[in-house]
Amino acid sequence: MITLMRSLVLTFSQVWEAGAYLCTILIMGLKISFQPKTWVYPVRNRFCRQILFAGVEAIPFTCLVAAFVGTMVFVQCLTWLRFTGEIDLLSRMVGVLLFRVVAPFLTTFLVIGASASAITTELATMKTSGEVRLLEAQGINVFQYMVIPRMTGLAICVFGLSLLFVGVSILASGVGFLFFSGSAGDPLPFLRSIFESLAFGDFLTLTVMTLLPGFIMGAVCCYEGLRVRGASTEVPQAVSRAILGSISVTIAIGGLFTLFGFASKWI
Amino acid sequence: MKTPVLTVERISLPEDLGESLGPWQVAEGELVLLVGRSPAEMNLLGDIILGVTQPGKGEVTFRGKSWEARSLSEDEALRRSVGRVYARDEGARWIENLELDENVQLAQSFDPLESREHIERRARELSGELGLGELPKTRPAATEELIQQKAQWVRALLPDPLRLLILEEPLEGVPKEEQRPFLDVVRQRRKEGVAILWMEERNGRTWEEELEPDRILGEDLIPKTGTST
Repeated sequence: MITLMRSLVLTFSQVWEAGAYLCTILIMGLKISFQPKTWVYPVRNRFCRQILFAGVEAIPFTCLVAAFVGTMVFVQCLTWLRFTGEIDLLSRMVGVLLFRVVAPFLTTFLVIGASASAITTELATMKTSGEVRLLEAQGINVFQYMVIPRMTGLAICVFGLSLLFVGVSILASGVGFLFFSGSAGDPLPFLRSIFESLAFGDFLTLTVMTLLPGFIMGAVCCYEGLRVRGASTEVPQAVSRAILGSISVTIAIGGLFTLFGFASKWI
Repeated sequence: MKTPVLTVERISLPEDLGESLGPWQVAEGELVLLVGRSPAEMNLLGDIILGVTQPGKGEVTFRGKSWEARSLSEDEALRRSVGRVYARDEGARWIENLELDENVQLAQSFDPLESREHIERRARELSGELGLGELPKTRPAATEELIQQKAQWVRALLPDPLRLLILEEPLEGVPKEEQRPFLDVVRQRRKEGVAILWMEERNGRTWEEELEPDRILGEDLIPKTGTST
Protein backbone atom coordinates (compact mmCIF):
# COMPACT_ATOMS: atom_id res chain seq x y z
CA MET A 1 0.00 0.00 0.00
CA ILE A 2 2.80 2.34 0.94
CA THR A 3 4.62 1.45 -2.29
CA LEU A 4 1.48 2.19 -4.29
CA MET A 5 1.07 5.53 -2.51
CA ARG A 6 4.71 6.37 -3.12
CA SER A 7 4.48 5.59 -6.84
CA LEU A 8 1.26 7.64 -7.07
CA VAL A 9 2.91 10.60 -5.39
CA LEU A 10 5.97 10.19 -7.62
CA THR A 11 3.82 10.05 -10.79
CA PHE A 12 1.83 13.07 -9.65
CA SER A 13 4.99 15.06 -8.93
CA GLN A 14 6.46 14.09 -12.34
CA VAL A 15 3.27 15.16 -14.13
CA TRP A 16 3.22 18.37 -12.08
CA GLU A 17 6.86 19.08 -12.93
CA ALA A 18 6.30 18.39 -16.64
CA GLY A 19 3.19 20.60 -16.59
CA ALA A 20 5.09 23.42 -14.91
CA TYR A 21 7.91 23.15 -17.48
CA LEU A 22 5.42 23.13 -20.34
CA CYS A 23 3.57 26.16 -19.00
CA THR A 24 6.89 28.00 -18.70
CA ILE A 25 7.82 27.05 -22.27
CA LEU A 26 4.43 28.22 -23.52
CA ILE A 27 4.53 31.56 -21.73
CA MET A 28 8.14 32.18 -22.78
CA GLY A 29 7.31 31.03 -26.30
CA LEU A 30 4.40 33.44 -26.61
CA LYS A 31 6.44 36.29 -25.15
CA ILE A 32 9.55 35.73 -27.27
CA SER A 33 7.64 34.98 -30.50
CA PHE A 34 6.24 38.49 -30.55
CA GLN A 35 9.61 40.20 -30.12
CA PRO A 36 10.98 41.29 -33.51
CA LYS A 37 14.60 40.86 -32.36
CA THR A 38 13.93 37.11 -31.96
CA TRP A 39 13.53 36.66 -35.70
CA VAL A 40 17.15 36.85 -36.80
CA TYR A 41 18.05 35.16 -40.09
CA PRO A 42 18.77 31.60 -38.80
CA VAL A 43 15.49 31.60 -36.82
CA ARG A 44 13.53 32.78 -39.87
CA ASN A 45 15.29 30.15 -41.95
CA ARG A 46 14.46 27.40 -39.45
CA PHE A 47 10.84 28.64 -39.31
CA CYS A 48 10.54 28.45 -43.13
CA ARG A 49 12.00 24.95 -43.16
CA GLN A 50 9.48 23.92 -40.49
CA ILE A 51 6.60 25.26 -42.58
CA LEU A 52 8.01 23.43 -45.62
CA PHE A 53 8.44 20.07 -43.88
CA ALA A 54 5.35 20.06 -41.68
CA GLY A 55 3.01 22.08 -43.88
CA VAL A 56 3.84 22.26 -47.58
CA GLU A 57 4.93 18.64 -47.87
CA ALA A 58 1.73 17.51 -46.12
CA ILE A 59 -0.55 19.30 -48.61
CA PRO A 60 -1.15 16.41 -51.07
CA PHE A 61 -1.94 13.90 -48.33
CA THR A 62 -4.17 16.40 -46.50
CA CYS A 63 -6.13 17.05 -49.71
CA LEU A 64 -6.60 13.33 -50.28
CA VAL A 65 -7.82 12.73 -46.73
CA ALA A 66 -10.06 15.83 -46.90
CA ALA A 67 -11.68 14.63 -50.14
CA PHE A 68 -12.54 11.23 -48.67
CA VAL A 69 -13.64 12.58 -45.31
CA GLY A 70 -15.75 15.38 -46.88
CA THR A 71 -17.66 12.83 -48.95
CA MET A 72 -18.09 10.52 -45.96
CA VAL A 73 -19.37 13.29 -43.70
CA PHE A 74 -21.84 14.40 -46.38
CA VAL A 75 -23.18 10.87 -46.93
CA GLN A 76 -23.59 10.25 -43.19
CA CYS A 77 -25.36 13.58 -42.62
CA LEU A 78 -27.62 12.99 -45.63
CA THR A 79 -28.56 9.49 -44.45
CA TRP A 80 -29.38 10.45 -40.87
CA LEU A 81 -31.10 13.74 -41.60
CA ARG A 82 -33.31 12.00 -44.15
CA PHE A 83 -34.08 9.39 -41.49
CA THR A 84 -35.04 12.05 -38.93
CA GLY A 85 -36.83 14.24 -41.52
CA GLU A 86 -34.56 17.25 -40.91
CA ILE A 87 -32.98 17.43 -44.38
CA ASP A 88 -33.15 21.26 -44.31
CA LEU A 89 -30.30 21.19 -41.79
CA LEU A 90 -27.97 19.37 -44.19
CA SER A 91 -25.72 22.29 -45.15
CA ARG A 92 -25.51 23.58 -41.55
CA MET A 93 -24.74 20.12 -40.24
CA VAL A 94 -22.00 19.47 -42.81
CA GLY A 95 -20.43 22.90 -42.23
CA VAL A 96 -20.43 22.66 -38.44
CA LEU A 97 -19.05 19.13 -38.39
CA LEU A 98 -16.24 19.97 -40.78
CA PHE A 99 -15.33 23.32 -39.22
CA ARG A 100 -15.62 22.49 -35.55
CA VAL A 101 -14.63 18.87 -35.25
CA VAL A 102 -13.29 17.05 -38.27
CA ALA A 103 -10.88 19.59 -39.76
CA PRO A 104 -9.16 20.73 -36.53
CA PHE A 105 -8.78 17.26 -35.06
CA LEU A 106 -7.81 15.40 -38.22
CA THR A 107 -5.26 17.96 -39.41
CA THR A 108 -3.73 18.14 -35.94
CA PHE A 109 -3.43 14.35 -35.87
CA LEU A 110 -1.98 14.34 -39.39
CA VAL A 111 0.69 16.85 -38.32
CA ILE A 112 1.38 14.89 -35.13
CA GLY A 113 1.86 11.74 -37.21
CA ALA A 114 4.09 13.44 -39.76
CA SER A 115 6.09 15.91 -37.67
CA ALA A 116 5.96 15.20 -33.91
CA SER A 117 8.20 12.16 -34.13
CA ALA A 118 10.54 13.90 -36.61
CA ILE A 119 10.99 16.97 -34.39
CA THR A 120 11.46 14.98 -31.20
CA THR A 121 13.95 12.60 -32.81
CA GLU A 122 15.91 15.47 -34.35
CA LEU A 123 16.20 17.41 -31.10
CA ALA A 124 16.90 14.34 -28.96
CA THR A 125 19.64 13.23 -31.37
CA MET A 126 21.15 16.73 -31.35
CA LYS A 127 21.12 16.63 -27.56
CA THR A 128 22.79 13.23 -27.26
CA SER A 129 25.39 14.01 -29.93
CA GLY A 130 26.45 17.23 -28.17
CA GLU A 131 25.13 19.64 -30.82
CA VAL A 132 22.91 21.43 -28.30
CA ARG A 133 25.94 22.10 -26.10
CA LEU A 134 27.82 23.25 -29.19
CA LEU A 135 25.09 25.83 -29.82
CA GLU A 136 25.24 27.03 -26.21
CA ALA A 137 29.03 27.30 -26.36
CA GLN A 138 28.71 29.51 -29.45
CA GLY A 139 26.38 31.90 -27.61
CA ILE A 140 23.24 30.78 -29.41
CA ASN A 141 20.02 30.80 -27.42
CA VAL A 142 18.71 27.25 -27.84
CA PHE A 143 15.14 28.26 -27.02
CA GLN A 144 15.20 31.02 -29.62
CA TYR A 145 16.87 28.93 -32.33
CA MET A 146 15.34 25.51 -31.82
CA VAL A 147 12.05 25.88 -29.95
CA ILE A 148 10.44 29.12 -31.18
CA PRO A 149 10.51 28.32 -34.94
CA ARG A 150 9.09 24.87 -34.32
CA MET A 151 6.28 26.04 -32.03
CA THR A 152 5.19 28.88 -34.29
CA GLY A 153 5.80 26.84 -37.45
CA LEU A 154 3.64 23.96 -36.28
CA ALA A 155 0.85 26.33 -35.15
CA ILE A 156 0.76 27.97 -38.58
CA CYS A 157 0.99 24.61 -40.38
CA VAL A 158 -1.93 23.11 -38.46
CA PHE A 159 -4.02 26.25 -39.01
CA GLY A 160 -3.18 26.46 -42.73
CA LEU A 161 -3.73 22.77 -43.35
CA SER A 162 -7.08 22.97 -41.51
CA LEU A 163 -8.23 25.77 -43.82
CA LEU A 164 -7.16 23.68 -46.80
CA PHE A 165 -8.86 20.64 -45.31
CA VAL A 166 -12.12 22.58 -44.86
CA GLY A 167 -11.99 23.91 -48.42
CA VAL A 168 -11.30 20.53 -50.03
CA SER A 169 -13.77 18.62 -47.83
CA ILE A 170 -16.56 21.13 -48.55
CA LEU A 171 -15.87 20.78 -52.27
CA ALA A 172 -15.93 17.00 -51.83
CA SER A 173 -19.27 17.25 -50.05
CA GLY A 174 -20.51 19.22 -53.09
CA VAL A 175 -19.39 16.32 -55.30
CA GLY A 176 -21.17 14.01 -52.85
CA PHE A 177 -24.29 16.15 -53.22
CA LEU A 178 -24.07 15.73 -57.00
CA PHE A 179 -23.85 11.94 -56.84
CA PHE A 180 -25.69 10.90 -53.68
CA SER A 181 -28.47 13.42 -53.02
CA GLY A 182 -30.64 11.98 -55.75
CA SER A 183 -31.88 15.43 -56.79
CA ALA A 184 -29.34 15.64 -59.66
CA GLY A 185 -29.32 19.35 -59.03
CA ASP A 186 -26.67 22.05 -59.11
CA PRO A 187 -24.32 21.66 -56.07
CA LEU A 188 -23.45 25.38 -56.05
CA PRO A 189 -26.49 26.49 -54.00
CA PHE A 190 -25.69 23.70 -51.53
CA LEU A 191 -22.08 24.86 -51.23
CA ARG A 192 -23.19 28.47 -50.90
CA SER A 193 -25.65 27.51 -48.16
CA ILE A 194 -22.83 25.81 -46.22
CA PHE A 195 -20.82 29.04 -46.12
CA GLU A 196 -23.93 31.14 -45.37
CA SER A 197 -24.82 28.89 -42.46
CA LEU A 198 -21.44 29.34 -40.78
CA ALA A 199 -21.23 31.71 -37.84
CA PHE A 200 -18.37 33.63 -36.18
CA GLY A 201 -18.16 30.87 -33.54
CA ASP A 202 -17.29 28.30 -36.19
CA PHE A 203 -14.33 30.32 -37.44
CA LEU A 204 -13.25 31.05 -33.87
CA THR A 205 -13.41 27.34 -33.02
CA LEU A 206 -11.35 26.40 -36.06
CA THR A 207 -8.76 29.07 -35.27
CA VAL A 208 -8.38 28.27 -31.57
CA MET A 209 -8.50 24.50 -32.03
CA THR A 210 -5.69 24.57 -34.58
CA LEU A 211 -3.35 27.37 -33.52
CA LEU A 212 -3.29 26.41 -29.84
CA PRO A 213 -2.72 22.63 -30.23
CA GLY A 214 -0.11 23.30 -32.94
CA PHE A 215 1.77 25.68 -30.66
CA ILE A 216 1.56 23.34 -27.68
CA MET A 217 2.46 20.32 -29.83
CA GLY A 218 5.68 22.12 -30.77
CA ALA A 219 6.37 22.81 -27.10
CA VAL A 220 5.72 19.19 -26.10
CA CYS A 221 7.98 17.79 -28.84
CA CYS A 222 10.81 20.23 -28.04
CA TYR A 223 10.45 19.61 -24.31
CA GLU A 224 10.60 15.83 -24.73
CA GLY A 225 13.43 16.02 -27.28
CA LEU A 226 15.61 18.32 -25.22
CA ARG A 227 14.87 16.43 -21.99
CA VAL A 228 16.87 13.44 -23.21
CA ARG A 229 20.14 13.08 -21.35
CA GLY A 230 23.02 10.91 -22.41
CA ALA A 231 22.09 7.65 -24.06
CA SER A 232 20.60 7.48 -27.56
CA THR A 233 18.36 4.63 -26.33
CA GLU A 234 16.27 7.33 -24.65
CA VAL A 235 15.30 8.77 -28.04
CA PRO A 236 12.47 6.31 -28.90
CA GLN A 237 11.00 6.76 -25.41
CA ALA A 238 11.03 10.52 -25.87
CA VAL A 239 9.27 10.14 -29.24
CA SER A 240 6.50 8.00 -27.69
CA ARG A 241 6.01 10.51 -24.88
CA ALA A 242 5.90 13.40 -27.35
CA ILE A 243 3.27 11.74 -29.57
CA LEU A 244 1.07 10.68 -26.65
CA GLY A 245 1.48 14.10 -25.03
CA SER A 246 0.56 15.91 -28.26
CA ILE A 247 -2.55 13.77 -28.79
CA SER A 248 -3.64 14.25 -25.16
CA VAL A 249 -3.18 18.01 -25.38
CA THR A 250 -5.15 18.20 -28.64
CA ILE A 251 -8.08 16.25 -27.23
CA ALA A 252 -8.00 18.18 -23.94
CA ILE A 253 -8.07 21.54 -25.73
CA GLY A 254 -10.89 20.39 -28.00
CA GLY A 255 -12.91 19.12 -25.03
CA LEU A 256 -12.33 22.20 -22.90
CA PHE A 257 -13.11 24.58 -25.73
CA THR A 258 -16.32 22.72 -26.59
CA LEU A 259 -17.40 22.78 -22.93
CA PHE A 260 -16.58 26.48 -22.72
CA GLY A 261 -18.56 27.16 -25.90
CA PHE A 262 -21.49 25.12 -24.67
CA ALA A 263 -21.50 26.85 -21.28
CA SER A 264 -21.32 30.30 -22.85
CA LYS A 265 -24.07 29.33 -25.31
CA TRP A 266 -22.34 30.21 -28.55
CA ILE A 267 -22.10 26.62 -29.71
CA MET B 1 49.77 46.25 -17.67
CA LYS B 2 47.63 44.16 -19.98
CA THR B 3 43.95 43.63 -19.07
CA PRO B 4 43.16 40.00 -18.23
CA VAL B 5 40.50 38.49 -20.48
CA LEU B 6 40.33 35.03 -18.96
CA THR B 7 41.19 34.05 -15.40
CA VAL B 8 41.12 30.44 -14.25
CA GLU B 9 41.00 30.07 -10.47
CA ARG B 10 41.96 26.60 -9.35
CA ILE B 11 39.28 24.75 -11.24
CA SER B 12 38.98 21.00 -11.49
CA LEU B 13 37.21 19.06 -14.19
CA PRO B 14 33.71 17.90 -13.09
CA GLU B 15 34.70 14.31 -12.32
CA ASP B 16 38.21 15.14 -11.26
CA LEU B 17 39.32 14.34 -7.73
CA GLY B 18 42.92 15.38 -8.25
CA GLU B 19 44.67 18.71 -7.90
CA SER B 20 43.35 21.92 -9.38
CA LEU B 21 44.06 23.69 -12.63
CA GLY B 22 45.24 27.25 -12.17
CA PRO B 23 45.40 29.92 -11.10
CA TRP B 24 46.46 31.43 -14.41
CA GLN B 25 45.17 34.05 -16.76
CA VAL B 26 45.28 35.09 -20.38
CA ALA B 27 45.47 38.82 -20.98
CA GLU B 28 44.77 40.87 -24.10
CA GLY B 29 47.32 40.10 -26.80
CA GLU B 30 48.75 37.12 -24.92
CA LEU B 31 49.17 33.61 -26.23
CA VAL B 32 49.15 30.89 -23.59
CA LEU B 33 49.96 27.32 -24.56
CA LEU B 34 48.41 24.55 -22.51
CA VAL B 35 49.90 21.11 -23.09
CA GLY B 36 49.33 17.60 -21.90
CA ARG B 37 45.56 17.25 -22.18
CA SER B 38 43.68 14.70 -24.25
CA PRO B 39 41.19 15.97 -26.90
CA ALA B 40 38.30 15.04 -24.58
CA GLU B 41 39.79 17.09 -21.77
CA MET B 42 40.49 20.04 -24.08
CA ASN B 43 36.88 19.94 -25.16
CA LEU B 44 35.64 19.84 -21.58
CA LEU B 45 38.02 22.58 -20.51
CA GLY B 46 36.82 24.75 -23.42
CA ASP B 47 33.23 24.28 -22.28
CA ILE B 48 34.19 25.17 -18.68
CA ILE B 49 35.99 28.31 -19.84
CA LEU B 50 32.85 29.32 -21.78
CA GLY B 51 30.62 28.65 -18.77
CA VAL B 52 28.64 25.93 -20.54
CA THR B 53 29.83 23.21 -18.15
CA GLN B 54 30.36 23.77 -14.46
CA PRO B 55 33.77 22.84 -13.07
CA GLY B 56 34.00 20.40 -10.15
CA LYS B 57 35.32 23.30 -8.08
CA GLY B 58 36.90 26.70 -8.64
CA GLU B 59 35.85 29.55 -10.89
CA VAL B 60 36.39 30.93 -14.36
CA THR B 61 36.31 34.69 -14.82
CA PHE B 62 35.82 36.16 -18.28
CA ARG B 63 36.41 39.90 -18.68
CA GLY B 64 36.35 40.45 -14.93
CA LYS B 65 33.19 38.55 -14.04
CA SER B 66 32.16 34.94 -13.62
CA TRP B 67 29.56 33.65 -16.10
CA GLU B 68 26.98 33.25 -13.33
CA ALA B 69 27.27 36.92 -12.40
CA ARG B 70 25.86 38.06 -15.76
CA SER B 71 22.46 37.73 -17.36
CA LEU B 72 21.86 34.99 -19.94
CA SER B 73 21.78 37.47 -22.83
CA GLU B 74 25.07 39.05 -21.68
CA ASP B 75 26.64 35.58 -21.44
CA GLU B 76 25.44 34.73 -24.95
CA ALA B 77 26.76 37.97 -26.41
CA LEU B 78 30.16 37.38 -24.78
CA ARG B 79 30.32 33.75 -25.95
CA ARG B 80 29.75 35.01 -29.49
CA SER B 81 32.92 37.07 -29.10
CA VAL B 82 34.97 33.93 -28.44
CA GLY B 83 36.34 31.99 -31.38
CA ARG B 84 36.98 28.31 -30.94
CA VAL B 85 38.50 25.51 -32.96
CA TYR B 86 37.26 22.20 -31.55
CA ALA B 87 39.54 19.21 -31.17
CA ARG B 88 39.07 16.63 -33.91
CA ASP B 89 37.49 13.27 -33.15
CA GLU B 90 35.93 14.57 -29.96
CA GLY B 91 32.32 15.66 -29.48
CA ALA B 92 30.22 17.68 -31.89
CA ARG B 93 31.98 20.32 -33.98
CA TRP B 94 29.14 21.11 -36.37
CA ILE B 95 25.37 21.14 -36.55
CA GLU B 96 24.99 18.18 -38.87
CA ASN B 97 21.76 19.27 -40.57
CA LEU B 98 23.21 22.61 -41.63
CA GLU B 99 25.61 23.16 -44.48
CA LEU B 100 29.17 24.13 -43.63
CA ASP B 101 28.80 27.77 -44.70
CA GLU B 102 25.63 28.12 -42.58
CA ASN B 103 27.47 26.54 -39.65
CA VAL B 104 30.35 28.99 -39.98
CA GLN B 105 28.09 32.06 -39.92
CA LEU B 106 25.46 30.72 -37.50
CA ALA B 107 26.58 32.23 -34.19
CA GLN B 108 27.37 35.66 -35.62
CA SER B 109 23.92 35.80 -37.26
CA PHE B 110 22.42 35.97 -33.76
CA ASP B 111 24.04 39.33 -33.14
CA PRO B 112 21.18 41.82 -33.65
CA LEU B 113 23.64 44.54 -34.69
CA GLU B 114 25.31 42.49 -37.43
CA SER B 115 23.87 42.54 -40.94
CA ARG B 116 23.81 39.30 -42.87
CA GLU B 117 25.69 40.84 -45.79
CA HIS B 118 28.48 42.00 -43.47
CA ILE B 119 28.87 38.54 -41.93
CA GLU B 120 28.87 36.88 -45.35
CA ARG B 121 31.46 39.31 -46.67
CA ARG B 122 33.75 38.82 -43.68
CA ALA B 123 33.39 35.02 -43.91
CA ARG B 124 34.23 35.15 -47.62
CA GLU B 125 37.29 37.33 -47.02
CA LEU B 126 38.55 35.13 -44.17
CA SER B 127 37.91 32.00 -46.17
CA GLY B 128 40.07 33.35 -48.99
CA GLU B 129 42.74 34.57 -46.57
CA LEU B 130 42.99 31.15 -44.91
CA GLY B 131 43.36 29.31 -48.19
CA LEU B 132 39.92 27.73 -48.20
CA GLY B 133 38.56 29.56 -51.22
CA GLU B 134 34.74 29.49 -51.28
CA LEU B 135 33.04 28.31 -48.11
CA PRO B 136 31.69 24.82 -48.89
CA LYS B 137 27.94 24.45 -49.28
CA THR B 138 27.97 20.83 -48.22
CA ARG B 139 26.91 19.08 -45.03
CA PRO B 140 29.78 18.40 -42.59
CA ALA B 141 29.47 14.64 -42.98
CA ALA B 142 29.98 14.98 -46.74
CA THR B 143 33.02 17.27 -46.43
CA GLU B 144 36.60 16.08 -46.14
CA GLU B 145 38.42 16.59 -42.83
CA LEU B 146 40.95 19.12 -44.11
CA ILE B 147 38.19 21.39 -45.44
CA GLN B 148 36.28 21.02 -42.17
CA GLN B 149 39.36 22.02 -40.18
CA LYS B 150 39.88 25.12 -42.33
CA ALA B 151 36.20 25.98 -42.04
CA GLN B 152 36.66 25.75 -38.26
CA TRP B 153 39.43 28.36 -38.57
CA VAL B 154 37.06 30.69 -40.42
CA ARG B 155 34.33 30.20 -37.81
CA ALA B 156 36.78 30.82 -34.95
CA LEU B 157 38.19 34.01 -36.47
CA LEU B 158 34.86 35.41 -37.64
CA PRO B 159 33.59 37.17 -34.46
CA ASP B 160 33.84 40.95 -34.55
CA PRO B 161 35.03 41.98 -31.99
CA LEU B 162 37.03 38.86 -31.22
CA ARG B 163 38.10 38.80 -27.56
CA LEU B 164 39.38 35.28 -26.97
CA LEU B 165 40.51 32.41 -29.18
CA ILE B 166 40.34 28.89 -27.78
CA LEU B 167 42.32 26.65 -30.10
CA GLU B 168 42.20 22.92 -29.47
CA GLU B 169 44.90 21.40 -31.70
CA PRO B 170 43.95 23.73 -34.57
CA LEU B 171 46.64 22.47 -36.92
CA GLU B 172 45.85 18.79 -36.47
CA GLY B 173 45.60 17.05 -39.84
CA VAL B 174 46.63 20.16 -41.79
CA PRO B 175 49.79 19.75 -43.94
CA LYS B 176 52.63 22.04 -42.84
CA GLU B 177 52.63 24.00 -46.10
CA GLU B 178 48.93 24.89 -45.59
CA GLN B 179 49.32 26.07 -41.96
CA ARG B 180 50.99 29.37 -42.86
CA PRO B 181 47.83 31.47 -43.57
CA PHE B 182 46.30 30.46 -40.23
CA LEU B 183 49.45 31.25 -38.27
CA ASP B 184 49.66 34.64 -39.99
CA VAL B 185 46.06 35.54 -39.13
CA VAL B 186 46.51 34.36 -35.51
CA ARG B 187 49.64 36.49 -35.18
CA GLN B 188 47.74 39.47 -36.60
CA ARG B 189 44.82 38.98 -34.18
CA ARG B 190 47.24 38.71 -31.28
CA LYS B 191 48.76 42.04 -32.26
CA GLU B 192 45.25 43.50 -32.30
CA GLY B 193 44.83 42.44 -28.64
CA VAL B 194 43.02 39.12 -28.89
CA ALA B 195 43.77 36.74 -26.01
CA ILE B 196 44.68 33.26 -27.24
CA LEU B 197 44.58 29.95 -25.39
CA TRP B 198 46.21 27.26 -27.53
CA MET B 199 45.90 23.66 -26.38
CA GLU B 200 48.04 20.78 -27.56
CA GLU B 201 48.28 17.19 -26.46
CA ARG B 202 52.05 17.15 -26.95
CA ASN B 203 54.64 19.87 -26.70
CA GLY B 204 57.32 20.77 -29.21
CA ARG B 205 55.48 21.73 -32.38
CA THR B 206 57.28 23.89 -34.92
CA TRP B 207 54.72 26.72 -34.77
CA GLU B 208 55.74 27.51 -31.17
CA GLU B 209 59.05 29.00 -32.24
CA GLU B 210 57.24 31.21 -34.68
CA LEU B 211 54.41 32.47 -32.46
CA GLU B 212 56.40 32.55 -29.20
CA PRO B 213 53.82 31.85 -26.50
CA ASP B 214 53.89 34.15 -23.47
CA ARG B 215 53.52 31.17 -21.16
CA ILE B 216 53.53 27.42 -21.50
CA LEU B 217 51.39 25.65 -18.93
CA GLY B 218 52.78 22.16 -18.64
CA GLU B 219 51.49 18.83 -17.49
CA ASP B 220 52.48 19.57 -13.89
CA LEU B 221 49.82 22.29 -13.60
CA ILE B 222 46.86 20.10 -14.39
CA PRO B 223 45.93 16.66 -13.20
CA LYS B 224 45.61 13.71 -15.54
CA THR B 225 42.11 12.21 -15.52
CA GLY B 226 40.13 9.76 -17.55
CA THR B 227 37.36 12.30 -17.91
CA SER B 228 35.57 12.40 -21.21
CA THR B 229 32.76 14.52 -22.51
